[in-house]
Amino acid sequence: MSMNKLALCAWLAACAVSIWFAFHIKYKVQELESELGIARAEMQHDHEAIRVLEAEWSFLNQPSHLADLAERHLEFSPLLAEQVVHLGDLPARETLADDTQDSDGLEDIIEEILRNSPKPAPKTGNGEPGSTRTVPLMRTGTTQ
Amino acid sequence: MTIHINPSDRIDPQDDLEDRSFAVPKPEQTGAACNPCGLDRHIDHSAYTVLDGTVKQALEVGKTRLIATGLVISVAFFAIGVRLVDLTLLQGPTRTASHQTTTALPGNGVRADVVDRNGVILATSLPTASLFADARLVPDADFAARELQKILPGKSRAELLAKLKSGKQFVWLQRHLTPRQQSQINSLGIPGLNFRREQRRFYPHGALTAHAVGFTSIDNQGLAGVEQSFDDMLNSTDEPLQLSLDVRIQHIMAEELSAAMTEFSAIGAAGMVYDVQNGEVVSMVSLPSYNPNQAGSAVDDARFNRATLGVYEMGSVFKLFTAAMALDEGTIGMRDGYDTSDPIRVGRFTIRDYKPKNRWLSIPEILIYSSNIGTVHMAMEAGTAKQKAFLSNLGLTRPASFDLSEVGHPRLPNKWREVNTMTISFGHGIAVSPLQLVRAAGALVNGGELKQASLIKRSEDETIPTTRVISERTSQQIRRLMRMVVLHGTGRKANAEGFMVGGKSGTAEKIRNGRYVKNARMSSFLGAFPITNPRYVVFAMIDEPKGIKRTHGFATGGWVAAPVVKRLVERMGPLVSIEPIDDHIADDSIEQLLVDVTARAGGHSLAPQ
Repeated sequence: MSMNKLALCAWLAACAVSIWFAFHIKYKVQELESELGIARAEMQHDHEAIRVLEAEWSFLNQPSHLADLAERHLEFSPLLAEQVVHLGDLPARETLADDTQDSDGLEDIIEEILRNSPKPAPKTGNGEPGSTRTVPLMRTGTTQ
Repeated sequence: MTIHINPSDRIDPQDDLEDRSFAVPKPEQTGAACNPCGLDRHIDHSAYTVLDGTVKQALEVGKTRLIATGLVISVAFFAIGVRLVDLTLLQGPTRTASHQTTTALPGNGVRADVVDRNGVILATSLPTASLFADARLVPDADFAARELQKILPGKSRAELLAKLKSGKQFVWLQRHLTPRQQSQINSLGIPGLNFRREQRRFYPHGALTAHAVGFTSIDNQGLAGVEQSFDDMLNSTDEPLQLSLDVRIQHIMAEELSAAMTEFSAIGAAGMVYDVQNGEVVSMVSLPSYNPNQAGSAVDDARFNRATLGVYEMGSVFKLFTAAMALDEGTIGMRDGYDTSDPIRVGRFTIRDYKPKNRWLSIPEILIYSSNIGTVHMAMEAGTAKQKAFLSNLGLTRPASFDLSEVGHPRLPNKWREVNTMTISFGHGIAVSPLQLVRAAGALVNGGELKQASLIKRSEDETIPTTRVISERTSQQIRRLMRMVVLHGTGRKANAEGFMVGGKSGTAEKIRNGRYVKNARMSSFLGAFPITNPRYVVFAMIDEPKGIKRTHGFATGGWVAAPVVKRLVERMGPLVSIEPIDDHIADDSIEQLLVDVTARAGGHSLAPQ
């Protein structure tokens, strides 16, 4: 008798625990689901924002717009065919070595660029606006 | 738990009376105590009364009814329990967030982007809000119409009022609001006005790629360009559609063409850059163009795609095909030539040269000086049937298969007579689209293989439908001829130094009412570069240019279209990483050939007609 009661009690307890556990999981899942929903909604929102920004980026990168900006703010011009030369067409190293015996060609070039680059102004600002020097993208070939 | 029914057990007699009215079948029968299950447990034998048949029967009925009721109720509770478990544990998750949001995930239901070969967005879908009204709920239509009209300048008040008073449950007021308009309308707070989220196509590069990309209706159905021809694909995938166009080269082409149009007061222009190795169309421009973001307001002339849909008599550009045919058939060699001193008379036509040389001309000279007479001799020696077959092999006699639906049908002579053979040899009496022309020219210069043209970027390993139309050797000869035309002939203004341009100019008088008009021309230039190993065919065509002082009144292809090609090649060459070469060295062998050829005057004479 008492064994039966004990078993019954145990069964009831197990039942209660499993029910509690099932609902606990369920509520947990619901909570996660709603979090997921929020995260997904945010993602979608961000995706849409990215779409808009990408469209704007493409719009701002219209070649005609870029050409206009480059003309106004840069001192570059379209690359000409004669500006492109082969490495082999460059003057030989010996001719450079004649001028300064102890330096090698590349170092010489770097030094020259550094010498000619505008010196950092002591104040905050970008030097004298009149004398900004543009470093050519590519050195003009010496052929022709 | 027992219910005492027997009143005699009770001490209080008053209860006795009340209990008697209780639902006991025979209250006068005493001594029976029963529980609901009908099991008598405390039978008082001292006050025992015999249960006769009727009493027993009544108790049985009661018992049965109780059991039945109990069963029904427990079944009901069981069912409710099962349903509860079912709803809360089993069915629950199917109606939660995961399923509600998957349908609204990004990508689903959004029309795919169109991008250029470098991934620059050419068409995209942006979320917008559209305003609709439930006209039954709008309390004061007059007020609403007045206020909305202030925010929506494109709508008349009468129109808005009519819609708001229509009594319909759903009526569009304005599609695709700007965010500002949306917030203004929202702050009006008028009941019955509602927003619906929609997608709107946006073309960041506007008119630049309008003819290739096309446009859609307000409901995002493709109506032109790849928007139309790839409508289903754009709606079903998330992957962007990558075109073969390069927006930078497209810009250069459009800029140079429109500069030429302005300078020569032309009415239109078309240009193409075609990759001869894989058949990709890298640039396709048709001017005037239109803004696809407001495609509805574009005029028909602007929407017309001159590069693929328009068919034109191409003029002397066709001489390249005639020369290729004659060289490939072996009817002539590079060192042969014809006497061009006499104009050719056929029926009522007389074929003359634009600038007659009145002497024997070698094959290279015929192209350099663009001699009609020499070209006619070349075509006649090969014959009508061969010309027809050759042009057909080059895909010039049927519409090109292309990724757009706007593809023009070539205009051919009804009956291909001898006179047609003669005029077609120098590009009159046959009208083809620029697309057909660049594709055929690609085959002439790329080693002799005609490729399927494509507006969609091709992958490296894709097999391209290819047919051989001329031999490798003929292709090389044609390349030399094209280079000679640029070095010495009508194409001199196309010589972009370092990029080895070869080509042929073309000038065709336009036909109006069946007659050629002197002052209405199509001036074009067909080029290929670098001619030593061509990668691109470039075509520029200006519609009705007028001669100006700078060109001494000329408006021919060599004066109008060749400089466009030169500037285009100079600007696009570095972009597509074509290495400039010292063309003087490369040209030496070509020059030598010309010297050899011209030194041998009278090498080949035409068979008498």
